[in-house]
Amino acid sequence: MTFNSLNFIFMFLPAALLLNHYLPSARAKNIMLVVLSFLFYAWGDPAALLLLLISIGWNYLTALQMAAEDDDRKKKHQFVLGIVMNLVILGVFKYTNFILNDVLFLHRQLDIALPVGLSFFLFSEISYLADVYMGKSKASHDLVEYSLYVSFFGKISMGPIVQYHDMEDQLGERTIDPYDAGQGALLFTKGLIKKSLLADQFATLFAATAGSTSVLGAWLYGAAYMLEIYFDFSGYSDMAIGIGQMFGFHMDPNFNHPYIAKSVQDYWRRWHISLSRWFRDYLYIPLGGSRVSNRKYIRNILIVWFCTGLWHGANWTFILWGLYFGAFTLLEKFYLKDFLSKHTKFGHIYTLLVVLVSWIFFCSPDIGTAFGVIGRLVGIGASAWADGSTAFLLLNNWFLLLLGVLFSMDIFKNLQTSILNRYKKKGITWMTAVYLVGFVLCIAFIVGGTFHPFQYFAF
Amino acid sequence: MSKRTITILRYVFFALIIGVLAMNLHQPADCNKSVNTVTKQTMASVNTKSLEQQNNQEIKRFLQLDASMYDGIVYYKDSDTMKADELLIVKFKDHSQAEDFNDKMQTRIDSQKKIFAGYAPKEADKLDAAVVDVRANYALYAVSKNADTFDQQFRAALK
Repeated sequence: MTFNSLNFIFMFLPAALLLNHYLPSARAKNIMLVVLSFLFYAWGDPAALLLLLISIGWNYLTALQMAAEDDDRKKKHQFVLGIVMNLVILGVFKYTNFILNDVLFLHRQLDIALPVGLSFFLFSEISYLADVYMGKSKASHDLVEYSLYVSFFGKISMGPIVQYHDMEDQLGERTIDPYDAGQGALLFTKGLIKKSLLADQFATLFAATAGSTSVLGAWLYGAAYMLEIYFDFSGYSDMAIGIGQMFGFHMDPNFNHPYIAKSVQDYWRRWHISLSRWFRDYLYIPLGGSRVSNRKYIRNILIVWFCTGLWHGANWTFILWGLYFGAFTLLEKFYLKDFLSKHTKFGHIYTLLVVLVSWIFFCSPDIGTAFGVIGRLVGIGASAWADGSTAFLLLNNWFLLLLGVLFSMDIFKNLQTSILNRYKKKGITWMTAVYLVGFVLCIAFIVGGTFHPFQYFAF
Repeated sequence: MSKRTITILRYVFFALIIGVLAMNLHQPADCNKSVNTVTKQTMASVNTKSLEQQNNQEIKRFLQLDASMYDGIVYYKDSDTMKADELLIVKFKDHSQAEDFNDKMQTRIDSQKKIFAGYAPKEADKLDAAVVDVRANYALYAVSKNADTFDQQFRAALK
């Protein structure tokens, strides 16, 4: 089941909200949410639920074992074993074929299905073990609350990867403020609009430009994917955070208009924020962060970006994508920081270009294809500067591209704030109408079958 | 919960994790039967009168597969163009062909869905329930109301 399906919007979510409203106690609400979350997760793949349950049990018990240990060395052993088993599960399900074919060149393809959300919920569980080990949180003695943290249907499929200590206090009793619930519903609608009306249309444009061999075609291909993945993933995140708000959970934003960033470092403080924070808190800082010699700092940056790339997928293109950003992080740290801070317009254009090229690595099936497209951006290997079909696509999609560019910036947010401040009650009515019309259009697109699966489901 | 109970339960879950991983890593052995034998057993006792066997050119045309790359390939398609039913069985020369096979079948399913989604929802439903099953050196692709039956008989045929 996905957030942009009719089953979810008109059956599952309303049922969950009603039950949450009418159930008498916090405990009953939590049990209900856990049961519904398991149902949500098992909907498309019941076998995957078994793995989820086993991983919940393993990590819950590991934290209890750590808490019961007086000896620090034994506590560390339990922690390391706990982490290793999580990484082994991730490795087997996600990286077996990559290791067999692309690392060991054994030309063997095993039939192993990657469970939805595996990377996301295992990282949440690693966060839990690390928080307990480092003393940021106490081990949970409530299996229902722990299960809710891991499996809450609002975030299990594609995040955000909420760190345990950020959610710990919300797992017991939650107050649902009507204003918050309303904001949650609004955010969910906004996310649905981003996904159905923008991301899916850019997906169609991206598919249509895939065969182009011209310079213009390569640019349109890159731009279409850049906008598709932003609206797809940020749309999903908005829906996830909105759902959380409707049930009394407060999760931090996962995106902050990344395409207005003035540097690569700024970009990564705005894109998939929960993942960046996870790697910062649980890998970069334990390695020493930036409080080390230059040599070790470079090592730390490359390790973090290697892992970030690898997390996204079992392919050399993802690893190269991660290391590419690592290289630009180092370049900015050692050479460009002052220049970019003084020349923000240049910084913005430079960041957009770096990010566009990065997405070409991300969406290509192999490194050769990626370099082929990147070459065509500057005319290398291109058949022409422009071709008829690309020009046709550009002519027919210029308005979509304009909307994509405008809405990827903070223009809509500022416009909404300005309308509400200036027109007060009338402004509320108009904005409500805009969201309602947007929602109805989304449903029309979903009913029409013209929707694509979420991109980050693949991770 | 006492420390002893936690330790015992942890051993249980450790064993469960190893068990789940082992089940997923265990893969079926290669089948030495000919593709015609496997196809016959796959299609047994199912009404396949409307399915017509296609030649290599049509395999290339509809599925973008080069028949000469495989040890054996059999493709059936419904004679009625308004139906999405099709059945494909391939025998790989090399296991590395499986990934490309999966990709091509997914592309086929996606393009067929775009065609049928607008005017033949029942055919589109068949595509949603399409089976792509890779078992060692054999693979099945089936779009049919009997897709699950084909898959069960396919797996039985490989034993």
